[in-house]
Amino acid sequence: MRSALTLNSYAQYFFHKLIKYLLYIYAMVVTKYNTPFPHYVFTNFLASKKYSSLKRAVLNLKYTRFDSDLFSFYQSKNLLISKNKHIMQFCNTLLSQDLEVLFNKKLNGVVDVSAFIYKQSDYLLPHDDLITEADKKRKLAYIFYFSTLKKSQGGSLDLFSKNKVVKSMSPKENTLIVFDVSRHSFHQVSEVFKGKRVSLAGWFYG
Amino acid sequence: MGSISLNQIASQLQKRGYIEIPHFLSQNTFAFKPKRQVIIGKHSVSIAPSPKYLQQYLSSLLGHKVVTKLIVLNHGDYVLLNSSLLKPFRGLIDLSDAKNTTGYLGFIKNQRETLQRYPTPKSLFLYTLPNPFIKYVDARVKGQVRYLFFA
Repeated sequence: MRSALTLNSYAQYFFHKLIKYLLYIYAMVVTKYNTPFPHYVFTNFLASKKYSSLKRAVLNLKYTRFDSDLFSFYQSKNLLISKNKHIMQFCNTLLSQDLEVLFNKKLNGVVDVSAFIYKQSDYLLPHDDLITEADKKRKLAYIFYFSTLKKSQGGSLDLFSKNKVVKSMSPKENTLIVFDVSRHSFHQVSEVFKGKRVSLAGWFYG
Repeated sequence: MGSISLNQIASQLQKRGYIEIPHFLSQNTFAFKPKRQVIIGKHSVSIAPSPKYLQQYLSSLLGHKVVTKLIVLNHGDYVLLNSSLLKPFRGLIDLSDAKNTTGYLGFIKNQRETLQRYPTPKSLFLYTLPNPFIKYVDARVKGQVRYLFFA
């Protein structure tokens, strides 16, 4: 009897450990940061199957090369006009995140979405994303990753304060980052040294 | 410097908006101590003292006192279109280490690059085209990009 009880408690112990591990791997975790400007990081944003379907859809898109003083990358067209159901589902998931509450900002339900690929030597130089024309007020910016890159591979999202990079986040797949757009929200995508950085990105308006 | 008349220079400038005179300098070496100048969202460069002998030569060539700025770019440096750093200038002497794949002087017209002028050591480049910028110097570049801008 005593042995049976011991075995049962061990089983329970490992069962709880397993659940905790699975939650860590598969459950969405939301972390808030305030410096250098407000931003949230959502890890494991999508369920595994939805993520894989969306990734396949994004990798099959048509991309155009863009090269200017500020950036070098490949970009898809605006995906809001896409009829792909996985991309539409992603947009709906984005819009359902209660970001008005999280950021204490009024949003109008309009979101942009394009896909970006940064290859070796591609980059996006420091800028604040701020557009203040009445019909195009960007309130929040977001990036959703399909790549995981090490620090040494580059392609990090760097946040600035007083002309210096104070936070550097390397891409991690199935991670969503949302940040406040303001005249202080200077950020860049650092040069990619190795590998490919694939993402969806855009803005929420208000 | 090869034989090219001022009239030919003026004619090319009028027709194309720029002219490159290669092998303008016979030598390229000098010592300098650059100072960092970074304005986020505008430019990231180093500024070095301009070689006096080049300032004097340009003054005698142009017939007036010149304003110069020696801009030095390493990996990660750039000058964006909305920076006013290059606004006063209309020419440069290229003091770069070697030909590089990026760090070029670009010009924008109708939201597109109309010209990409790659580093060409020891050459003189004059331009009347508006909206210059200097492209980000990426990790493939070996050595420094250095432009002595003048007006």
